[in-house]
Amino acid sequence: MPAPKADLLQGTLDLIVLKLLRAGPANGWDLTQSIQVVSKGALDVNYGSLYPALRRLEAKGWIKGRWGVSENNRRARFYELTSAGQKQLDAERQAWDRFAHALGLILRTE
Amino acid sequence: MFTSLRTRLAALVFRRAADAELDEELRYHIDREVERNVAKGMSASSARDAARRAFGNVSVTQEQARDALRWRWLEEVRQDVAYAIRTCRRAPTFVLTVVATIGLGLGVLTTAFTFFDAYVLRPMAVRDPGSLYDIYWHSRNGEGHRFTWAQYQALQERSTVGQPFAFAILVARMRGQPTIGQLVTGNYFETLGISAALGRTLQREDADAPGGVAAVVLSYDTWQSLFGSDSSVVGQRVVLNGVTMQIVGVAQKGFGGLESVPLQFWAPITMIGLLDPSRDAFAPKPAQALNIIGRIRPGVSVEQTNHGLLAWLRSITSELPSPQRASDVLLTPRGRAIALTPEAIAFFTPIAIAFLLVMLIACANVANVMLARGMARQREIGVRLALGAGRARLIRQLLTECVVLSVPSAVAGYLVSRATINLGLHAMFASVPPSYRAYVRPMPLTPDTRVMAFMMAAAMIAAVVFGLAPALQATRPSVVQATRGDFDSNRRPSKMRSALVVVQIAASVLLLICAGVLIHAARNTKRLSPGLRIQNIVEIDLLDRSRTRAIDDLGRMPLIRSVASASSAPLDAIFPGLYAGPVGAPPTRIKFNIVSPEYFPALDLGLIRGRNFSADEARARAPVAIVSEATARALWPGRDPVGEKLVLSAATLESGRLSRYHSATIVGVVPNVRAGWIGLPTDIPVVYYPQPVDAAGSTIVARAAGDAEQARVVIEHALAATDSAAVRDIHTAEASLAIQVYPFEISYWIASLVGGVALLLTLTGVYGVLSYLVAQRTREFGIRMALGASPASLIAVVMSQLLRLAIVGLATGGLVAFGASRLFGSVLYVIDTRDPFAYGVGLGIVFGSCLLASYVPSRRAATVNPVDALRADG
Repeated sequence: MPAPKADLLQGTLDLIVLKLLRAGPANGWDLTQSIQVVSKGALDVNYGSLYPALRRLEAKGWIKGRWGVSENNRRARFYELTSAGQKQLDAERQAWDRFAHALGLILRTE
Repeated sequence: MFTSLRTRLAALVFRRAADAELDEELRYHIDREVERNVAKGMSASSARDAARRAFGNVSVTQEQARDALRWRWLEEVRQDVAYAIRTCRRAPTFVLTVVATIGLGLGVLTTAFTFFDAYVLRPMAVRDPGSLYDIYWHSRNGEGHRFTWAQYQALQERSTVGQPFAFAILVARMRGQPTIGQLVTGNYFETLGISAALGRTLQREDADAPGGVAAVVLSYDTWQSLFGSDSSVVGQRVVLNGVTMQIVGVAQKGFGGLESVPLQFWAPITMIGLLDPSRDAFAPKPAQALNIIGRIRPGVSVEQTNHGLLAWLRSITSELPSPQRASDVLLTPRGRAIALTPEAIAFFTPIAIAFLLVMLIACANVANVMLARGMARQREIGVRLALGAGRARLIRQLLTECVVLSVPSAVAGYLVSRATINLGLHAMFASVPPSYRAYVRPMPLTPDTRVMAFMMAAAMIAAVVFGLAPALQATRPSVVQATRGDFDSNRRPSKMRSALVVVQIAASVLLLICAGVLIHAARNTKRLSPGLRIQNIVEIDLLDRSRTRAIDDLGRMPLIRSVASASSAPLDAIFPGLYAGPVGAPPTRIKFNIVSPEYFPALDLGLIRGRNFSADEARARAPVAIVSEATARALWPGRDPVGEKLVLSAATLESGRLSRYHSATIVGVVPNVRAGWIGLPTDIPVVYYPQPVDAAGSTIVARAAGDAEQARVVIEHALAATDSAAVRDIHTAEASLAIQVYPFEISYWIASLVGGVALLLTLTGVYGVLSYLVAQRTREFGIRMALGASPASLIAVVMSQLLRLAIVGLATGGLVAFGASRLFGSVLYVIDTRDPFAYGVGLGIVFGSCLLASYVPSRRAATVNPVDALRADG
């Protein structure tokens, strides 16, 4: 029996996208695959919410989309991290670390 | 931040492209998913189905992605605008009605604002206009004073005001045309920061010493109109009041001085003795002929400056008899053509209200049309409410319709205002008596940014005013009622619609009563007798040096009956005043005129008692006087004044040229006249003193045998033949009277126009509302008809509905007008603000028009075909 998949916490999808894009430009499809591979299938990303998230991040100026050619020679939209996005990622990561640490402390106390 | 803004804007502007991109991106994703499924061994069709399932709802994703990228409200505004334009396109008559109505109201309002802007709001295009103040002072006896040259120089030494400069207005003929200019001190142009377009402006050296340099600077407009933009004008000579002056330059384009009339030339103030001897500020006994404008110093308040000036004026008048000492100083801002003093505000407020009322009537009309339309659109609105549209969103959408309509309305308003301004100026010039036409010089009336901003703001506010109430009302119906298709259950006319009609009628009545009052006043003014015979009279201002010869020439002309002279021509300006009284009695204020013996017969002023001045008395300027009946009645009530003495007060003696007449024996009594202005009552006391016909500085009053206008032309030519500069000004007395009545006529025309527009708008409003009501009640009328109601009774039903509204409106308007008359009656003493004629006409016209406007709709009600009406879908 496979382990139950965890729902994404509100707002964490943005953080995940930013983190994945740090490795280099990627398109929407690549991102969904990466999320499943990296999380070892534990996270179930609703594809439908990925694209609005990409648009949202682009509107905030954290990522930038441009058209390119994919590995199977098709036109696809690639996203890359902007410097503002880089800063945002750092900030959110620190915030997440603090949050996870605090939550861990609380959960470990008996 | 900027990339984000750019992305959003790009998404908004290139909406289609952005949507297409999103589609392509999603397609790519699904295709890849399908490929993977196929690679896993699924069939093509099941691979596609699986991919779709995995993705979820594509259109929801699209919506969310779109929302993420754009400002939602902006998108909605865009939709509203698009929807509004579609709706408007489907109802061209409606759009035309609204645009024409608002355009008319807005056009009239903008016209008024354009004038207000040009005269009151627009700062003069000079350096730091806001700190410029005109200085004027009163002595304890209430007389107003300007300054002498010595006083000006003393003020310059002090630091009370910054950069004071002095000037005097000069009217002179230039190249045969009457022109208005200014004699100024040498620092005038420098202080105002005005440069020369050609040659140079006046400089300090030009106005150093009395006599000065005979230099003149032309205004740019004058250079164009009188000199044909001649580039070699600098160095040319012109003759002003007989003095040859050299043109040294042309002032920069657009500069016309600080007056409310654009000036045409400037010359050194030190020339005043030559150009206008009667106001010689440099004579041994100098005239207080100089106006002074100075700057309020930075960091100093107007009050402080006023105190400083008063202290100075008190010190320099401390030696004088008590009544002549300075009592107060008046500082008037001169950075704009008309300063917004309390008097100016009191003058402009009623005018502004009148124009706003017209706009209000127009808005009420449109609001009514909107209301009616809102009713008609209840099915549409009901359906949209049923489909889940929010009320706020619906109201916003209806308001958007109004705003969309306000744009073409503003354009129409702009066109109407330009047309009325051009037409108005044309009419204004055409109706001025020809000999005064040169003096009617309006400020430039080109619309500036303020006018444009005002118009856009007014159009927007109007949109909200005429759109908000109908929008609120229209979105009120319950969903149930609307979907049932029951839209006309609310058959009684809404309170709001009735209120709008009442307001319109009331405002129309108010405006028409005002118009009536002014029309009647203008007609009365025209019929007012100035108290003397002005037909056949020509008034001539002569240059002193050719006075004797000109009078001789006039005497020899066959078409001239008699030649007289007067210090004040009968209707040129209000006569000056003096203080005098019988021996031992306190002096009272009396207007005076110094005239030659020929004056009385020339103007048909027959002596009621006593005799005319004798030739000897005139030549010697003997201490004798002729008084008006009013003077006799005021000073010697019930007695014959002939033989009594009239003694001038000490203050009058000190300040004027009247010392010869210190104690004058009354020799005659003449009828009352209006003392120089048609607006004055006839019973103001006047006293006449004798002078010879060739007295310097006086106006020649010549009585022609025939038509005065023809005589004027002949005289002008004849006198110019001997000395081209002899005539300083010449006009008929009837032209003087016409120019005095002119302001009344202008206000009458404006009031009529405003009243007319208001009436027209109200008429269409009443007509529209009643037509709508009749249309709404067609089925009811059909039933009544079928049950045997007569057409007359149906007409009565419709008319009575209007009558109730009309009576309330008429009563309200009449009462407001009456209330306003109590407010303004004391200010406008020439005008009878409670003129029953005006009230009768105003109320009558509006009432009659309402009946007329209601007749057509009620006829329609009376001719309803019962069968058709009952079949019709309500």
